[in-house]
Amino acid sequence: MTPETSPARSWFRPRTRLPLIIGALLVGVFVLCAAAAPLLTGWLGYDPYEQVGSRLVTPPTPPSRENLLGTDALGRDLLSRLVYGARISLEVGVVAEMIALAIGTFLGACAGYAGGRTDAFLMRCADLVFAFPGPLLALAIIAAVPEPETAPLLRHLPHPSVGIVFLVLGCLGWARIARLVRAEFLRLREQEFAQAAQAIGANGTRVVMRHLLPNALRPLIVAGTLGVGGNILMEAWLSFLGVGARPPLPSWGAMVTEGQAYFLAKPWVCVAPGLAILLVVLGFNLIGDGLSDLLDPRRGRAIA
Amino acid sequence: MLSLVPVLLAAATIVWIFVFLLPGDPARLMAGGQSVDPEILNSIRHEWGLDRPAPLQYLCYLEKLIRFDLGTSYVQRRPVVSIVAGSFPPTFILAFTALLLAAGAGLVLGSLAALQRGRLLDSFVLILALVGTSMPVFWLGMILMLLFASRLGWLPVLGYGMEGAFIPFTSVRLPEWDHLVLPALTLSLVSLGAIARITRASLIEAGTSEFLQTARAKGASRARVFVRHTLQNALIPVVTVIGMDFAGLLGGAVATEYVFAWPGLGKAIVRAIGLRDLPVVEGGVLFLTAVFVLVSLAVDLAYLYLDPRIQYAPSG
Amino acid sequence: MSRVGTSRCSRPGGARGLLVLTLLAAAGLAGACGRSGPPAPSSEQVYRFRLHEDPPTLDPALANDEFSESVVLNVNRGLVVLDPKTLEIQPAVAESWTVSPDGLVYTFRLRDGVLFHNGRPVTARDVEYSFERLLRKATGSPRRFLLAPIAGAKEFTAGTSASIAGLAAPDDRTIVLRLAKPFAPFLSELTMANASILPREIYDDSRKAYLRAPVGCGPFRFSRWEQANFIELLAFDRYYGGRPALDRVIIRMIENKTSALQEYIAGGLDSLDEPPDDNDTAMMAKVGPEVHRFPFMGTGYIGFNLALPPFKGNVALRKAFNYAVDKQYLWGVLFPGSSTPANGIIPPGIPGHDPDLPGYPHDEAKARNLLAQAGYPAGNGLPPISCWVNTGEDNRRIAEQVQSDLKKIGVDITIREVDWGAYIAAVSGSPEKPGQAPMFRSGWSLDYPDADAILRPLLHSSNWGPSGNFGRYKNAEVDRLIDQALVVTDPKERADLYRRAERIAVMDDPPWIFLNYYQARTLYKPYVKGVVLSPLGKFRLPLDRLRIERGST
Repeated sequence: MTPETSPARSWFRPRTRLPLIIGALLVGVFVLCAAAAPLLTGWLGYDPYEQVGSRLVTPPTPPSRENLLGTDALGRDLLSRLVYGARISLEVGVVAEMIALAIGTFLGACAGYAGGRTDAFLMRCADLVFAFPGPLLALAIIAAVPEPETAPLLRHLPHPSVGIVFLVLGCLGWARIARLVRAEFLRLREQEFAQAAQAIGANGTRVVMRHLLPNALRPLIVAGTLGVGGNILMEAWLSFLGVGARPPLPSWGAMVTEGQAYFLAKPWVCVAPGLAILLVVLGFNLIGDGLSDLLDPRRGRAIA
Repeated sequence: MLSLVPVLLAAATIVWIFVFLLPGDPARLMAGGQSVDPEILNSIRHEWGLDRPAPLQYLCYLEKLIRFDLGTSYVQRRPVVSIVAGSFPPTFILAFTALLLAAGAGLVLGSLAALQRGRLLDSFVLILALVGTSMPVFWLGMILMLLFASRLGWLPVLGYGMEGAFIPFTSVRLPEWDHLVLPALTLSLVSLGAIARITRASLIEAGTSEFLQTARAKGASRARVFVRHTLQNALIPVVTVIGMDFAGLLGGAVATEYVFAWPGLGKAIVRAIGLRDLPVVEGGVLFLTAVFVLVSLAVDLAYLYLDPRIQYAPSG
Repeated sequence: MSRVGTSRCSRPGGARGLLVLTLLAAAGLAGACGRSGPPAPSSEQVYRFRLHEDPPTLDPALANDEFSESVVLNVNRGLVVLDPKTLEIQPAVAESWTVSPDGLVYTFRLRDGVLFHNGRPVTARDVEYSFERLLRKATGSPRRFLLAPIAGAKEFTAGTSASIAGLAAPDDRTIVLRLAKPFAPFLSELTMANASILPREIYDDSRKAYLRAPVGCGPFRFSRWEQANFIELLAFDRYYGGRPALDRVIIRMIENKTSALQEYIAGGLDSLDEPPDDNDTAMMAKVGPEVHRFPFMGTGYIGFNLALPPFKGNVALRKAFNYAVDKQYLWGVLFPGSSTPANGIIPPGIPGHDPDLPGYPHDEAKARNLLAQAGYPAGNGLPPISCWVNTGEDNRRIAEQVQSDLKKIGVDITIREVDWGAYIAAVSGSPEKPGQAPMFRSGWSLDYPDADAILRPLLHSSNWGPSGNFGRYKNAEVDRLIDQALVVTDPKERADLYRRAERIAVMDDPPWIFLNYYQARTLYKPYVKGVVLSPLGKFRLPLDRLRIERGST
């Protein structure tokens, strides 16, 4: 039996792109929300910070014609807070991941390319970050800066209290990226094309930039998209513990925390932001997974 | 093995620095209440050595560490070692059970997805597995609690139980099993997605390997081939994921412990941060770091056992 | 190649074996995990309530918070107790006492037959020991000030005297306390948990075993404590007041409010200190009849830091803020049924409370005027003001509501929500430096029903700084009136003095934004009988009056 006609062929069928499409859709919707937040709320007519509703009825109020998702614990329109919250969540997720990617790629490339003692040292550092209970460290660091509005670096950000969250997450996230990049570099370094390039006499940086890095891109993109989801979840958890975005900022995590007291009787206050987190993170996870499949080099080989 | 010591030392130093930087006066919190006589604060500070200069405090901390003395809790006024020893078993039992559930379900789902690769079921199973990983853990816990405990009444709402048996020769009490179900289920969903994904990916990779083709060429039935050869190979990355996901599991454990009133170490450390019970924070985090390093070592050893290729030199 | 293949075929059992072993271990673990389902019902009377987290301590000398007190007040007893309903001072270990006409000498006669949980009878020597222990510096009690009025107490604490001059035990059943100056609330102070009587043989232990196994002479004796899980107390058969009706008390540590409510509904708790909100119709339909409301001696407010601008010296600004906040909306709509709006400082039920005090009803126009008078028309020119809040659902919402109210008159404040440690540091500051928080959300519950218990710690200039007067309030006239009321013995005269002090503090020189007088709300299952709804609060309750009467449920 030749490979082409063996029943093993069933393993090689290309994967449906459905998860990727769904993921892209989910993320796309929320990105749109975030970008067009002021427009949307203008159209809806509600300010996420303004208390609406009758002064006689105790908030939160259920969904109605005026407030499509009802109001939160202080009588603010939930839908507009959700939409604005998309900005904060995406900001945290993406920026933190970019920081992690930047630091991690650089350090991982150094480790993978240089090898030897540099490699060992950097990987020990990465080990340290891994071994450390990240959530606790994040909690401790953020608790150590109770006034982000006046802290030197953070002061200039639009939302300093959120800024510290993504700084911390980025600084904790570099380890997995570095490990990944290093592994890829180690693998690629031994491959023929790299050795050929070196034989020709190309210098180190050139080899890295032109040959190694582009090939390491695939797992990096996947790890990055997965990382965004993880960061958004982390932000929700930190808000739950009481650190992170300051009131009255409508971060989704803070909204879930506020809503959990009403969970039994008025679940939508807690469920809506929780669902939003779920969908966005799911979207990123699906994209990451879908990309991983899409960019899988084995696909090409199988069909050939 | 050698890397253990510097990693722990570095971890100890980092924890100490951050805990030291936390705003708030531990003496104040030890005295409790809202209004305290400054004289009492001074005597508390002196008793606990908090009025000494920072470098001296750090050195004392290190010196105690070398003797495996994690200090005394400011709040509970008893050795941190006994606090950690008391609160780690519940967390361990929770995490272990969660991992078992996640591994079991993840392997099954991942295998299903791999077998049905490319078909709709594959995507469906994948999305299902990922949903669990995409949710905030505390939110998920509350929903499960509401559904299974409050609405349906099948399981207890929360807690560890008071009637569990003790492990012989120790003072470690086991939870009542029905109290373990919901928290473990909640926590297992955190790792489920990753395990399912990795299983699927590694099964596919193993499935395309030459070994499989050779085995099939030898005439082995499809199922037998699957179980004996691919599953065993798939365990390697799964074990790796288990090792790496431990950190995520811990974060999820803290949330789960909070929602379900589980007396674990994660919750104890978070509480200690809030109470500025610095010895507990330092001791607890250090302990967890050591556990993680050991888990990594165990994973590496399992690696060696599961993949004989590592033991033999590549034969060209 | 084939060699590897062969070895692979001989290996597969290995990995699978590992898996099977793990599964077996798990099964074994599950099997050992105790029984399933609730224990068989018996005629045993068990009362289960919840604390948010473990009490910081069970040592009466160190107890400085309501969680610790909730346990200590049932395991221990002192010379006298407060009747939870009438708030009168009742005999406890002391069966009677006399006070000399000049108010300086208190003579107590101890009851016969009072036993510690270890079986030993209580004598006057034990009272002596316990008071010395509380005052001793080495003990480190944050509440040793309770016994400071006793003559010679300061010297004893400082170490210059080997015994307390004003404390004498002439015989086994008599204790004589001589005060340095008349101190009207002295008896009230002796009702507090810190003044409990302790057995020397247990509490002299240098290894401090008593921290995890307290011993006292109260109606319940300590059984066991599993950290973050539960504390168990058992009835003390030979309690002097008669064995309590309850056989066991279980205190469960549950932090999350929503989880705790579900546990209560499912029957795992017999009472709950955090009932659902009044407007929560779904929950109230389930547990409405079980909610009990009662006033509770305490008040909530938002304090001003009077040592820093802009509040320093600017009375008009403080009045403006007070007029801007809509208390009716806060306590009528946002938090219905949980508090009554406060016009002043002294809560209702405490002598000195003035129901006719006008206070600051909501008046935006007046607020704007006063704001302009203060030098900041429409909020222009105000420095950045932050309001510091301790982490907590309700605290944050209250602060956000106040923020929203202030915004309407043009004042923009930011909210800083931090955990307790950071909060206390920011608010209390140090003896030299005022705290950094310009505004802070705070509250105060009284230890005993005396206006001195709130006015002196919070407003008297002698407590300026971290010992209680965080806002650094200083008003000479208020100081004078408080001092005077302390030495006067006629209750009517004292009440009048306190009324006058309060009026000055509220109407002429407000120290804070007056928010609410606490009203406690608790859930009790219908089969819990003997419940006393006490202004002492939800946690300082005597459990020896409770009994369980199942059958009708």
